[in-house]
Amino acid sequence: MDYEGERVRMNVEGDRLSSLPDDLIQKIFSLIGTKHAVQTSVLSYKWRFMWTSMACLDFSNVSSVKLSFRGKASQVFVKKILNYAFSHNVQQLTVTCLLDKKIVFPLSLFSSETLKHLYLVGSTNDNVHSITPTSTWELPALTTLHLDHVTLYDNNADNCAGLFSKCTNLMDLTLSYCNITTSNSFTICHPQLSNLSLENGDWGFKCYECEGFTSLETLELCIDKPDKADAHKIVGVLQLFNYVKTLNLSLEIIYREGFPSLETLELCIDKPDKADAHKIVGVLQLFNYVKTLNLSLEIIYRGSFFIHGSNRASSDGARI
Amino acid sequence: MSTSSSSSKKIVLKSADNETFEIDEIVALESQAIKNMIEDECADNVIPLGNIDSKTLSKIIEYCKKHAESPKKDDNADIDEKAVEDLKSFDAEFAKVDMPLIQDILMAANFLNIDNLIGLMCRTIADRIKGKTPEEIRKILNINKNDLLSPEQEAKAREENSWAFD
Repeated sequence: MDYEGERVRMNVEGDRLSSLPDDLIQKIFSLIGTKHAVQTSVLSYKWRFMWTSMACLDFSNVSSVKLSFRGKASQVFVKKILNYAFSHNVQQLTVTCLLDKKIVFPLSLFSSETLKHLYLVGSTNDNVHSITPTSTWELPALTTLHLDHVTLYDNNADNCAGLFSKCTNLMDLTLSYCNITTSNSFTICHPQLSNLSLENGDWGFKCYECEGFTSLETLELCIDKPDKADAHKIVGVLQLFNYVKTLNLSLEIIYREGFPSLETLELCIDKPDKADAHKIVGVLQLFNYVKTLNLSLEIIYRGSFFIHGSNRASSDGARI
Repeated sequence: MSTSSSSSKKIVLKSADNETFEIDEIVALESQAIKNMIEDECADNVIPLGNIDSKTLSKIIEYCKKHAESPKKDDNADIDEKAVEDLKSFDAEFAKVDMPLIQDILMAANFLNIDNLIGLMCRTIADRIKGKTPEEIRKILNINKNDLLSPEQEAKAREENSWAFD
């Protein structure tokens, strides 16, 4: 190559792709797909808005949709987005409602064979629970359900029926600042459930099928400022999991004073191991002032079980 | 350059660096632009290509020769299949060159209007950048550091279309 040729090449060093004719860039964009084309917006100044000239945006490979909106959930725009998401086999959906007042969310819209993860977040303003789902969800593939600031109704009094009853593959359930208003009891019956998180809010529910929770690995209870009513709630929840075979009990309760009003605590674990021992001690220490302690460990634990300190001085009758 | 058939008409291409390439007309006709020139009879004996250097031009001629020689579709189905496979592996080997040359070939192919070659180069570029991180793509495309967005601007670009960066 002589000097002339060298000069021709030198003139066009650096990022020359961005200087290609538009139709070639479009061709390359269409080959790498919409998502990767949009990602080129961070490459450099030249690439910043290049993708916006794409004539055809293809979202057929989108697996996650996040939707934030104000106003009625029944508005055409919201319906369109949700319909689009479901008709394109989206696997993860996050819906955030920014409205201050209560609205009823027409969750009859929530019907998908493919949705795996659903995050539904109501307004976090004060204690307004802005989303109130009204019908049973038909989400057979759902494994993760996270509800935040949502009011739940369970209109069906039958065992195992209710809002999530048709989400048979649910493994991870989080209820955060949820208000469960039901005259009967709210039923969660999912044999495959492995993580259950209850964080603040009103959980006035019972589960009739406790044996169902054979896969539960982690139970998280989190209450910011527990009072007497909360103590009963916690005990109630703990009782639900009497028959769980492996229970990782993680109480993240920001409350250092114990539960001065708690009178009865029943803990029952079938096959505790060494790790459980520490957890149990941790739990017991939270309930400093409990008067009656019913601790039932189905299989005699052979390792050492030391309880350091005597924080339970006020436990009048401890039966083990 | 090519002397495959002494009886066929020859075309001479001249690169930007004044190198001449004599090729069979059938090879030159792979380029829609040259084909138009020949049909309109506005092609002299020597066609000057002032924006294509000799390195790029010789690659393009290599491509056009192979594609001009390979049997066309109306032939026997068995030969067709073998020829298609043969052409595929040729294309794959042909594309194993560095990014600057790929971009040179793409620009030249675009100028000469060689549809298959444009497609091959676009696919090659797409394959090389698809699924790569922005940092990797900048390296592949040789993007100048002075052209980069500031961290704030990059954060804003990501925020605007965060769904694409999950």
